[in-house]
Amino acid sequence: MTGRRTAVEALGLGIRHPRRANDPHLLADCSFRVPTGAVCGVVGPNGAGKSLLLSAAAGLVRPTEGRLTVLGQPSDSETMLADIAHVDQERSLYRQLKVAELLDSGRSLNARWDRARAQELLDLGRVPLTARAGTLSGGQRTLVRLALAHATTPRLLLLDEPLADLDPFVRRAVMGLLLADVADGDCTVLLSSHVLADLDEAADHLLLIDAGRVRLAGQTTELLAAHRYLGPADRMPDSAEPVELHGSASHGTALVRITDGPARPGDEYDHPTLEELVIAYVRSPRADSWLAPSMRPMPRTGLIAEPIA
Amino acid sequence: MSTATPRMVPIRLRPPRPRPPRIPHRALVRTAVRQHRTVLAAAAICLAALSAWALRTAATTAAVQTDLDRTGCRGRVFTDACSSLADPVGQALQTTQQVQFALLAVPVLVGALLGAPLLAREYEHGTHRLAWTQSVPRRRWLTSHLIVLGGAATTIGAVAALLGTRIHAAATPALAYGASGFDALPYNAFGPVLAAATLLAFALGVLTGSLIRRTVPAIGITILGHAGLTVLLTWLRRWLQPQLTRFPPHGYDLSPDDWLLWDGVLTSDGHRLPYAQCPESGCPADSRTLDVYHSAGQLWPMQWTQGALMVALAAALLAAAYRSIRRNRL
Amino acid sequence: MEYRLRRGSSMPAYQQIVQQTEQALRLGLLRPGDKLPTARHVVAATAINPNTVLRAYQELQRAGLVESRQGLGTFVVRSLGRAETIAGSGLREELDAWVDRAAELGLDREDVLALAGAAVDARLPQQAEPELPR
Repeated sequence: MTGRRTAVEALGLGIRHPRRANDPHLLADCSFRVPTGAVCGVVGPNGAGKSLLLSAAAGLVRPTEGRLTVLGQPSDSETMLADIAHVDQERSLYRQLKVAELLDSGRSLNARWDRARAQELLDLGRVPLTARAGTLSGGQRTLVRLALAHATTPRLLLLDEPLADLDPFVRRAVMGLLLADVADGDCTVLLSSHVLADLDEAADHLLLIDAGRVRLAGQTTELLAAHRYLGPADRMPDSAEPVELHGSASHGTALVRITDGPARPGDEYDHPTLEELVIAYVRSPRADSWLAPSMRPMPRTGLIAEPIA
Repeated sequence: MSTATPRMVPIRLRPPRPRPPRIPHRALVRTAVRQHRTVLAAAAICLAALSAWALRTAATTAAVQTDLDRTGCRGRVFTDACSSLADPVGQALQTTQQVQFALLAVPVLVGALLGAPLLAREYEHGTHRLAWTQSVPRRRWLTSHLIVLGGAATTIGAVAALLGTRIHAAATPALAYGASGFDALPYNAFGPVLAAATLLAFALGVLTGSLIRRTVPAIGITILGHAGLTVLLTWLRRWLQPQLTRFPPHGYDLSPDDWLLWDGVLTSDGHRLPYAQCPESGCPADSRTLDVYHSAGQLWPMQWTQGALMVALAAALLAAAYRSIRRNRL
Repeated sequence: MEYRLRRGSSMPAYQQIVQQTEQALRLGLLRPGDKLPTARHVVAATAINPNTVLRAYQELQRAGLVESRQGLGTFVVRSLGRAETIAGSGLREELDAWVDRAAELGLDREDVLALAGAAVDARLPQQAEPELPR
C-alpha cells in the first residue's frame, strides 16, 4: 500500500534546453511526490516532457533548477543506481550482442540479478536467446529491455511507454509481471503513456504533464472524486474551480473541481472518467493545475525521517 | 497567553540501507571486451599482418646492407660493377618507406576506429541510456572501457613503435646518403613518439566522440585533429633538446645522422646571422661559419621527451572526457 | 482460485474481486481455512493495480469473511450460503440429471437457463437481496 514514504519527489524541478534561447524550459517548476508503493502513470501529450522526467529520475539528465530526489537521494547520485531500472523509449540495445550475452552483461553490471525473472518476460514473446539484438522485432526489443530491468529487482522501475510496441496478447501478462513486485511492497513504478487505456486498472496514481508543467497529480480515486460535471441547472458552489466549460453559460455544462469536503461515495454527481479529466485539462491550458494531497511534496525537515504510522 | 511550544513528533530514523555490493572490475572489463570483440579481433589481425610485413621488409633490407658491405658497393651502387645491386637497394628503400607510411597511419586508425566510436557510438545508438542506468556509475563504466580499448591502443602503439624501430635500424646506416632519423618520416614512425602518438590519437578520439556524439563526424575530427597535433609537435620538437652550435672551419661538416637546424655566421660583434639574413653583398668578411644542429645522439632523448609530452597530453584529454560524461546534457 | 476481471465494466475492479470471492464462497469452491491467492499472484495474472487487490481483500476482511495472517497470507474464515447443506443433500446430483434430460430432449443452453430461471422466479419470489453487511 502506498503510504507516507517517498519514492520520487520533485521540488521546483526545471530542466532547460542547453541551446534554445527563447522558451528554454523543457520542464518547468515541477513539484510532486510519488509515494513508495505507487504505480504512477505519467501521462500527457507527445512532447510534453514525460520521457525527460523519467530520464531525469534515472539520473541520465541532471536538473538545471530545483531538486529531484529519488529513493531519498539526489537523482544524480551514484548509489541509487543499484535500486532503479529504466526502460527508455528507444529500447536501445547493443545490436551486435546476442540476447543471452545481453543478459550476461546485465548480470555483470548489476548488484542484484535474477536470471529467472528475465526469462519469464522473454518467454512471453518467445524471444530466442541466440538471436542478435539487431535482428529482433520492436516488441521483442521491448521485452529484452524489460527483462534486463526486471531481473535487477529494482525498488523504482521507470518505464517509458512500456506497452507501446507489444502486441495485445502479451500486454496484460507483461504488465502483470512488472506490477507483481509492487504487491510485495517496497517497489514503486512510474510508467509513461500517451494512451490512457494502457494504464487502465494498472495505475493508482496519475501525473499529468503538459508543456513541461505538472497539470494534475494525485491518486486516481482522489482525482475522480474531486471533479464533477455541473449542468445548467446546477448552482456553481463558491468553492468550485472551473476546469472546462462546454457551450454557453446558460445552456452548457462545466467540469469543475471541488476539493472542500470529501465527496461521498455513491453521491449523485456526475463524475468524469479519468480520460475525460485528462483531456479536459490538456484542452484548457489556462485552468489551474492541481496537486491532490497524496502527491504533494512533504514539508521539509532536516532529517530523513518518517513519522511512526 | 501561552507561547506556542513546538509539538514533539516521534520520529523513527530509517536505518541506513546497506551499500550494494561493489561490482568487481573484472566483470566490467569482461563485459567491455565482449562489446568490443569485433573491433579488437580486426585490430589483432591487422596488427599481425603489419608485423609480418614490417619484419620481412626489415630482414630484406638487412640482407641488402650485408650484400653492399660484402661487395664493397656501399656508396657506389650506380657504378657498373655494382649495377646488379641497384634494383634490390631501390626496392628495399621503397618498401621501407611504404612500411613507415603504414606505421604513420597506425595512430590515425586507432584514434578513428577505437577512440572516436567509444562514446560516440553509445550516444548515437542511445545505448548510453542502457549502460548508465545499470548499477555501475558511469565513470567506472568508462574506466572499464578505457582499460579494454586503451589497453589495445597502447599495445598496438607499442608494437608499432618496436616495428618502426626495427625497420629504421635496418635501414640505417642509411642506404641512401643523407637520410637521418630526425627526418619527419622516420622520426614519427618509430620509437616512443609512435607509441605515444597512438595513445594520444586514441585519447583525442575518445574526447571528440564524447563531445560530438556522432561517430562519423567524430572520426573526421579526430583524423584532422591528429594531423594538426602531429604537424605542431613535429615543428615543436626542435626545442625539446638543447640546440648545439659548432663553428666548422671549412663549412658544413655534420654527419648524415645529425640534424642541421640552421646555418649562418657569427659576426665579429657577436651576432648570429643566418645566411638568408646576410646582405646581398655577402656576409661580413670577418665572420665565422656557424651550424646550429641536433646531434645524432640527441635523437633518442628527443623521442623520449616528446613521447612523455604526448602521454601527458593524452591523459589530459581523457580527464576531459571523464568530465564531459559527468555533465549530463540532453 | 483465479479471478477473471472484466475491463471497461461499470463495476470497479476491486468490487469484481469481492463479488467473485463471495460467489466462490457461496458455491463452496472456497471453504474456511482455504488461502486466497496472494496479491502478487492476482496482479501477475490480471495486471491490475496491486493496491486494488489489497483493497478488495480489506473489504472482505471487514465483512468478516477472510483474515489476513502476517506473513502467511489471507485465509477464509467463514463460508457463505449453505455450502455444507448443499453438499449432503443430493440436490446438485438431481439437478445434473435434470439438465442432462433437458439436453436429451433437444433444449439448448439458453432454453435450459430460461426454464430454470422461470422456475426459481415462480417459487422463490425476489426479496431484499441477501447482501453482505457493509
